[in-house]
Amino acid sequence: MKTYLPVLIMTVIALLIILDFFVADAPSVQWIKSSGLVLRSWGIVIAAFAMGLGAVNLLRRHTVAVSRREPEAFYSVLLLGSMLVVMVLGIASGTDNPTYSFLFNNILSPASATMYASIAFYIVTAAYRSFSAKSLESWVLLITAVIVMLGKAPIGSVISDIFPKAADWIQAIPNTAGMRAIVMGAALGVVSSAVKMFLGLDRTYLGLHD
Amino acid sequence: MERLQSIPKAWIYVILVVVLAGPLLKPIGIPIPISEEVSKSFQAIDSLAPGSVVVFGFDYSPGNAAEMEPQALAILEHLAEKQVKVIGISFQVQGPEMATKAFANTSWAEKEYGVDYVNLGYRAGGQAAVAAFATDIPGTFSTDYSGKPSSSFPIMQGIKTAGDIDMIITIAPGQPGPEDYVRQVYGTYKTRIIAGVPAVAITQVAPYVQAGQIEGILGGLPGAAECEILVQKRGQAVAAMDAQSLAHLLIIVLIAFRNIPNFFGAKEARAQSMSDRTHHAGRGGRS
Repeated sequence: MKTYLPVLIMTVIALLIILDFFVADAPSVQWIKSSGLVLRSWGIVIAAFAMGLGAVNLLRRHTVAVSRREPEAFYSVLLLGSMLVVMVLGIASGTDNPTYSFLFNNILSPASATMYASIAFYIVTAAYRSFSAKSLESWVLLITAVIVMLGKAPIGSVISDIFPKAADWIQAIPNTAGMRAIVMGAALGVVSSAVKMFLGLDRTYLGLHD
Repeated sequence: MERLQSIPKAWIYVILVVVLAGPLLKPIGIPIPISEEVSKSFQAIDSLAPGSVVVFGFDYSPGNAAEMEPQALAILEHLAEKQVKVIGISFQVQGPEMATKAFANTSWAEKEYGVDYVNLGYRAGGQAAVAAFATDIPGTFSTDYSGKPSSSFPIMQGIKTAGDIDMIITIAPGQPGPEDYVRQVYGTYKTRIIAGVPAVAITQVAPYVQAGQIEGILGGLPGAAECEILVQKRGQAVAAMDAQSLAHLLIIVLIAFRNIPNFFGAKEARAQSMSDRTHHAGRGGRS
């Protein structure tokens, strides 16, 4: 019962959602439409709760780190402090509070942008160290990368019109063909995985590995 | 020759700073050609009639704002010029703040909130939330970002499903992104979609563009720069393009430095092996 009931609930809910996508908007199947609508709104509520659960877990983990005076407890104090300040501000005075916006625009935004910008340095050094062509395949990869890099920056068309045209061709033909194969393969994988779950063959989401 | 293969990291960092800072401080003015994808996006937005309703997905965060925000600002300026109505939504937790900032820094700041535009905030759930949005917009976004009921805004009158929307524009560096809108919205309602994605994600959405499910895409900072030129409001993206061009050139030069010794090394090795073989053959002939 402990195994069959969750599988049954999952199958009924999943079939309702799938049917909702395919059936027409007719009065005779209105119950499917309205069930789909309700189930999707439940999905949002569950996702919101999952976020709350994540926040509680984070609080718990770092409170323990501080109470045990772990070596990097300073960062846990920083995290807990900033988390509590933002949470209290947001809940007590709303997200349109000027202090809330000030913290977002003057601490979170520049800090995140700095992290993102620092990737540029890693990309350049990684490209320098890893792009060492020693076989035919690596030469093909290297030449393709150079064409795309030149073709996708304005300097490419200044050097020659060939670069943007070649970059567009690489993107539109071989690249998209490969991507399409991946997308279709993944879609078929999702369908087969769903069928296995409906039939109760895959029960790993219940914590069962048989 | 081996020295070219072992340039210290610190040197590369310094060279990169100089290469990036130079053109930012003193622009060179490298001409920016307009790509077909951006031109299609511009024409699609240009075809909107005044009063059309556009849903704008602010699905990016401060971390990737350097690449995504210029796209959002350029498109918002175009939408303001077209006098359409914009419903801002987000499936990325920091998106609503990005929306507030974007509306405040464009011509939308002079327009009336709730009548011309609205910021409906964030909804959790990823693709499931996109599906819920498609079938029930006022139910999914029952309040705006500040907590006021969305049904109280004139802009929301008559809006029920994605079928009541003239166009969806999403600026998304990851998931949920354009693919989710295609699966959950385009499949059922055939609502027109324009997407702004980072340069590295162009390949990911290209199959949907070729299939006509996404009408146009803006790719990374070059896409934003092209859009700024078409809208005739040059901003951050155009200013950064010279730096990007030179950074690309620097990477190519460094890759060349790394591979020149390989190239000549291989040639020398080939020549050496040829001469060894001739030498052996010669000795064999004599004996």
